[in-house]
Amino acid sequence: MEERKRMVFSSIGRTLLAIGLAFLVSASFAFAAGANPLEALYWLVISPFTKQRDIIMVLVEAQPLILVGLGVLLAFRARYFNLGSEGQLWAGAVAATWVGVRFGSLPSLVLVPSCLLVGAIAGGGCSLVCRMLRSRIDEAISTLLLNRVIFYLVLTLLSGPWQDPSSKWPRSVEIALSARLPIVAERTGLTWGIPLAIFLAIVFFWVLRNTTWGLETKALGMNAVAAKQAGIDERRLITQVALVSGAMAGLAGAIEVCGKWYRLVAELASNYGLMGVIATSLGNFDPLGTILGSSLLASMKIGAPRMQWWTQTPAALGGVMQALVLLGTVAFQEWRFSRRRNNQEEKDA
Amino acid sequence: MLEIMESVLRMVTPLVLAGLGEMIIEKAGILNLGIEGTMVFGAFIGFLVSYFTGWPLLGLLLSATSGMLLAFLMGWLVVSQGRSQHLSGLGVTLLATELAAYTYRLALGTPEGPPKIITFSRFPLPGVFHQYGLTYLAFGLVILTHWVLKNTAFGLRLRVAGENPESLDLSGVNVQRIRYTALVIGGGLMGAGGAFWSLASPGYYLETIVAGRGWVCLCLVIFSNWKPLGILGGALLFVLFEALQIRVKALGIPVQQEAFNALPFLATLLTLVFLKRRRAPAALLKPFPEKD
Repeated sequence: MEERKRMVFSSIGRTLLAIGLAFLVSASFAFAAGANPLEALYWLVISPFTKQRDIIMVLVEAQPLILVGLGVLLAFRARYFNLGSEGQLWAGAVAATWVGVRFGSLPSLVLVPSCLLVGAIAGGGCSLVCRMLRSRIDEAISTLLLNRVIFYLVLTLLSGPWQDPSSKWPRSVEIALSARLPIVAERTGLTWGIPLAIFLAIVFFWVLRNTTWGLETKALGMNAVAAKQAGIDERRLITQVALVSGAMAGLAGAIEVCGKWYRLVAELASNYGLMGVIATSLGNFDPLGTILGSSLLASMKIGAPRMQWWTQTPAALGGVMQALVLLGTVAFQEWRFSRRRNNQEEKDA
Repeated sequence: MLEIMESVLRMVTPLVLAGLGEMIIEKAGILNLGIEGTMVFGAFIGFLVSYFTGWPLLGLLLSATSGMLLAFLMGWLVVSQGRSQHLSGLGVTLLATELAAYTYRLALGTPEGPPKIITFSRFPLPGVFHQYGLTYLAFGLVILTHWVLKNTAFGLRLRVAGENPESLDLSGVNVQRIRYTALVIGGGLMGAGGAFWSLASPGYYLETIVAGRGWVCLCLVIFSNWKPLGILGGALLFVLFEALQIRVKALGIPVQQEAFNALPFLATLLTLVFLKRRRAPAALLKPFPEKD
């Protein structure tokens, strides 16, 4: 237990070091822009936590990151490098939009869960395609390629058969009113999506720690050869991991449609795939840490335009800090995220 | 017809340059996902330098240098520290893209349209040969890379570093140094490839000028089966897709324009599914020395 505690503290420390370094470098960039670095950083990361309305905005923005992050977490821990969250998210959004428009006559109690479920299935399906190609091409590459394919197909839909005839922008028609996610509190934009995301994070936390399945996925990632000799069915497990990982991203996409935009729009995914990866990295690939990491990233996204408004520092500094935070955690943490060599079995799985 | 040839050769150039760069890196065993960011940053630096100094050649050199620096960062994380190649590459791409946006805004504010800069001019040769120096360079590099990889000791060491680094290490070669070298060469090429867009054709810089073509180059490496001549062939095919996209209406093709952007990626995925002959360097993505 002492060892465990030490390791947790050590990894939290490393993340804090990475964040601190990112802050320092960003501050100097802000200084180079002629702004007061403390003021710039205040607007960038602190201001979104000062008012209740802003905190809700942060949660809303963090919600897809949490879901995507959970999926990434599960996959990476099993050394299945699903980088296709963005495409899977889009697939989920497309599926949810289709159901939300087509079956609008159904009551909310049926329609909303259906949309979310269909979204998760769509995301999982995309992930499954890449999983099945694993013997031919690394899933990291195939998922990245599929991302682009799906994105352009979505654009094709939005500018073509699915385009809202009343608008010249690439966006779809609205989903039915009964497909909308119910709001938690009036006039806040806070839907049940956020509690769902947090609930799932807790589920992940418990499953990964306390169930055979969860522990097996981790064992697979740590030493696939030993895991197989211990009787773990690698092929089946990787397929399941790929499915769940994609489903989480698909669910995130469905929630974006049913809870935020109420239609399919070109700005929907907004780099959530990569942001989810960063959120998980910040959280040291732990579900609860992912919630914190997502909140931090969300606050950067919300704070960036404010920073630009108040201190004339270009909003892109928010993106720079996100990149620095990712690179920092990559540099300082001692994750074992590489392929093992001479592992012919892994290639066949 | 000759007009099409001329523009095809021109448009192929950045894809070939960056594709060769990424191929060299992957042949040495590293997947560099920083390619998109490196090209964006290269395009930006080329533009910036030409904007302030009026010397596109200096812009090109500094673009290549910036690409090398980004690749060096990648090298430090991946080769020296043995960190995750996926995360490092994605981090580099994000950093480079955001830094370019940040510096652009800082240096130029929000201009009405893309600011005018001094760009390269093409060689005053007739017809198909009326191209930029970079285009000639790209084609020359295809041949050079092919020859070096096949016939020189350096090329052999590079290939073995990507196939079986242990044996290379046992024979006394410094695998890390080979990988760093590959990264730096590749990074320089990627930066130069990006600069082609801002300094040659179309000759201006916008944040959206690369528009995901870095990922197309990543695709290109796979599509080419990690061969220099394949890079050229694949790039020609991808440019053909682009050319078709523009002429979709004129040719009466019943497919929407936006869908064409997906074609390079779709084509690559399909070849991976249906053709068995794609073989990546065996040690790609595996760190050396292997950590536990």
